[in-house]
Amino acid sequence: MHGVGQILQQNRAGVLDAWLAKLRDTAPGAQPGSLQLLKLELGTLVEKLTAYFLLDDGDGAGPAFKAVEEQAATISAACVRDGLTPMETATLILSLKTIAGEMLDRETSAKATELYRMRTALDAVVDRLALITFAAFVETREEIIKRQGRALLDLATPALPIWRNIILMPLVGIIDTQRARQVMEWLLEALSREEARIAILDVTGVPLIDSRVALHLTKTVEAARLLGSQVIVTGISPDAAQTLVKLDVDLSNMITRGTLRAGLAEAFRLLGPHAKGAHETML
Amino acid sequence: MTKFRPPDRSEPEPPPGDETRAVVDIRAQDDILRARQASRGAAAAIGFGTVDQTRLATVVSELTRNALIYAGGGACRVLTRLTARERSIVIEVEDSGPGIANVAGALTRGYSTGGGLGLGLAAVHKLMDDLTIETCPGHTLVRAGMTRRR
Amino acid sequence: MRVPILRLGRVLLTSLPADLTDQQVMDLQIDALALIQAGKADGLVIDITAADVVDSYMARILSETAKMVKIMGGVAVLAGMQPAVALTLVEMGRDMIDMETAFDLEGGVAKVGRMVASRGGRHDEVPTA
Repeated sequence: MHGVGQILQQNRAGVLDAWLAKLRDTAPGAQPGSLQLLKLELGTLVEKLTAYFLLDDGDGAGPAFKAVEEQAATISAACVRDGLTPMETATLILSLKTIAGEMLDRETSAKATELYRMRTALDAVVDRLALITFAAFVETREEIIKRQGRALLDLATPALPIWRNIILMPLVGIIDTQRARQVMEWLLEALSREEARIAILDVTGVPLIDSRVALHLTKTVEAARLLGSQVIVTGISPDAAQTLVKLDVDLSNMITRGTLRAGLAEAFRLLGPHAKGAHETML
Repeated sequence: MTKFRPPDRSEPEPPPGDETRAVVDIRAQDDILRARQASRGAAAAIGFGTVDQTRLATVVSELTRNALIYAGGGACRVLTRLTARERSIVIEVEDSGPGIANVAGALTRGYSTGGGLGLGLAAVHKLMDDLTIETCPGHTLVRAGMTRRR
Repeated sequence: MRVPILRLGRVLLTSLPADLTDQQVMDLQIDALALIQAGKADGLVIDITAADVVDSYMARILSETAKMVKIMGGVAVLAGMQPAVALTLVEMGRDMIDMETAFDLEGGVAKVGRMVASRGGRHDEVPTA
């Protein structure tokens, strides 16, 4: 499709201007700064596309097309960053079809059949780009979600030394296997660092306590016992209590309390005179 | 006493690739300790955390002891692989002993033919992400792998 | 080399080195039991702060030692386990370590004291009224 390439090359500035006008319509709320960046990215895409059509016969293969694909993915990532919806991003890419198509109509003197072939080749490539953009969009989005998830995980699980020898760890959110492992690591680390004898694990903020979560809690309690410390689980809701009994989960080795207040009282009881600062007597 | 430390982000990551980090001949009890140290060092070198290092060293301890007790010895290899997305480590323990007659049984807690508690392989199974066992009389190869996202 | 066992009052103290062979663990069991049999102590505290690996074999020997000490009228406490070791043991299976535990050596000694006291004192003396 040499013809398409030549026409694109001659009218690159025109195509790009028309495209940018479209971009302003597509994303009226976008920041001028980010529009400036997108403009650069779109310019590069038109350039790569031109190079591809000049070199290739438009079958969507070869290193030139690879470069086009990569640039499309970059644009997609930029669009996610700037808060464009997938719809807006796809519309933006697909609008190239109209813009470049009109350009072909205007600039070529070729016969209708030749023009038709050129437009078909162009359409095929742009459609492909739209799909690539969408796939890249989803990928970028997932990456962002994962990153935020990790950030949330880091934030959501503090271990607070609330009294001499007592730490409190409030759990908020869903406990899956990976998170349970992480919680266990952090709890043990905190027990060790603070030289705490008691950890209060408050599960008020955990929406669902089922047998799987109970198993993780049991393991945490056992691991803390190996360190020579005890865990009190507080904030077990009536719902959770009903579920655990119905599922026949054995919690006999676990100290559980309904409220954080009751848990704290139990912690002081367990520590005995130790809590008030008295030293244990040596044998 | 601080027992956990987050990985130091400023430390440069080693380049991607496969590497055989250690080969330890298992002939005596001291060799178990050497294999353990080698696996811990390899795990640390490609950025595994303290807990994973401990899991690996424990697994090496179990597998090499099995080779020593049941086969009179063997060899332990520590292999690492680093890619853009993942880091993984594989422990291979090979021996030329009588083999494991009942692999499924050996993976169940409480099963043992050597007077042990039979916890070794079951424990390895729980600590690692994947475990393959090739065994016949005269040759046994246990391969245990752990993979983490970078 | 055998792991040394110290005596503090009526409590035996021992600290396991980082790298311990199976034979050394067995020797330790034998030595500790002999000292208890000789009436030199009521309890045993095994400090494993330095141990960075406790596998199923060592866990079994330690748990068995505790049971043997108990049968001989004493109490045994395991002290100072590393968090990473505790995590690994819990993942390996239930009840890998079937014995009393304490946070550190001091806590271990205190625990032995409490356990002996709750039982009514030293096992080789007539209780005083």
